[in-house]
Amino acid sequence: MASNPEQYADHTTHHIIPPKVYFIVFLLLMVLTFLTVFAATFDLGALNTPIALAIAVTKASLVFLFFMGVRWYAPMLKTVAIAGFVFFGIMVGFTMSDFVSRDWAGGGNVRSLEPAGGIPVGTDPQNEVPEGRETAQPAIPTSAPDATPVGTPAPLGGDTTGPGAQGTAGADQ
Amino acid sequence: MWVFLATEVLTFGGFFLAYIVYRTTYPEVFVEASTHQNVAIGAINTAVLIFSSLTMALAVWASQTGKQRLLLVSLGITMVCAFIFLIFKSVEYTEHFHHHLFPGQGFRFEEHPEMAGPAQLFFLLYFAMTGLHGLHVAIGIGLILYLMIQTLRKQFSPEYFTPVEVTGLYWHFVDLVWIFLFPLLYLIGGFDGF
Repeated sequence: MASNPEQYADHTTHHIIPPKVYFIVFLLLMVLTFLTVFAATFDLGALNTPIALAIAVTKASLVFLFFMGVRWYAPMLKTVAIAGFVFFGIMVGFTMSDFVSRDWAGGGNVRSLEPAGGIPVGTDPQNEVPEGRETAQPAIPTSAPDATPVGTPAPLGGDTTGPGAQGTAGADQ
Repeated sequence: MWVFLATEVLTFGGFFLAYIVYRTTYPEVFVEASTHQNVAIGAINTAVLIFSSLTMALAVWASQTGKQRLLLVSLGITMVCAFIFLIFKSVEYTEHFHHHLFPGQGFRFEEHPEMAGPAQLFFLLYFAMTGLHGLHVAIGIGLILYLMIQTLRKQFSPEYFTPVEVTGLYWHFVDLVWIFLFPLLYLIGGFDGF
């Protein structure tokens, strides 16, 4: 936000975008808006959200590249403009890789205290975990749910498929 | 400005992340809860914001080429669109209050009482995200008003138009956020209005 006009006039990288571009982009955005509402009238099951998001990303790209003019920016400014979105991607990526994979090691989550070797790593956790947890150790989970998993030591004698391994696997992510 | 916008991306990003986490946790409740949205108003508001982005882009062009009257008119139309957006939003909020969809003691989710907890979470995110977005629209109105006053005072010229350009970037960003809010908060439950 430079407030010195002379300083600003020194900018040579500036590109004046003709209004024609703006009108074309506007029409495309309106068509895509209609399309996304129209697509919502069909129930496509699991595809509903991916389609809506694909249209949204297309619209956002049009706004970003043409309305905001990033398309004509110098490489350095392009990098800065994209940075925020990249970091948002990292935030979502790391969070979800942890959140989604908590059930994968067969422990239900990293807080469970199943005996070692109870459930092999890599099986579908959705069906097998709850029964496994209840039959194996009915008493302990009542005290477990709020315990912090990070750094919880493995029980004595636990092997690599036991809760200690799950705890560190979760903590690493 | 782009550094500021990067912080804005992450401000809204926190809410989007919360949405992703809870939508993953309660997929069918979020779909059910979004059917309580007024898709028609959401779609009209989307169009209003996109149109205001066009007029804002024209304002930037007018300031770059020294067209003072077009600059003033474009800014004025953009501001009117911002008010229209907020008026529609307040109509929606009023509807939600009447239907007990504001999270808290009075929250009711009559058709599916068993979903009330996670559904409340959906509406918490809805009010937080659209509220923060609405605040940005309101701030945008203030910025545009400032630009109009400065235009009348003949402050902008092809040599100096940075405030117009920067406000333009801000306004397009507000539009960009809404482009994602609309499908995620309104359309995931489908639409049978045609």
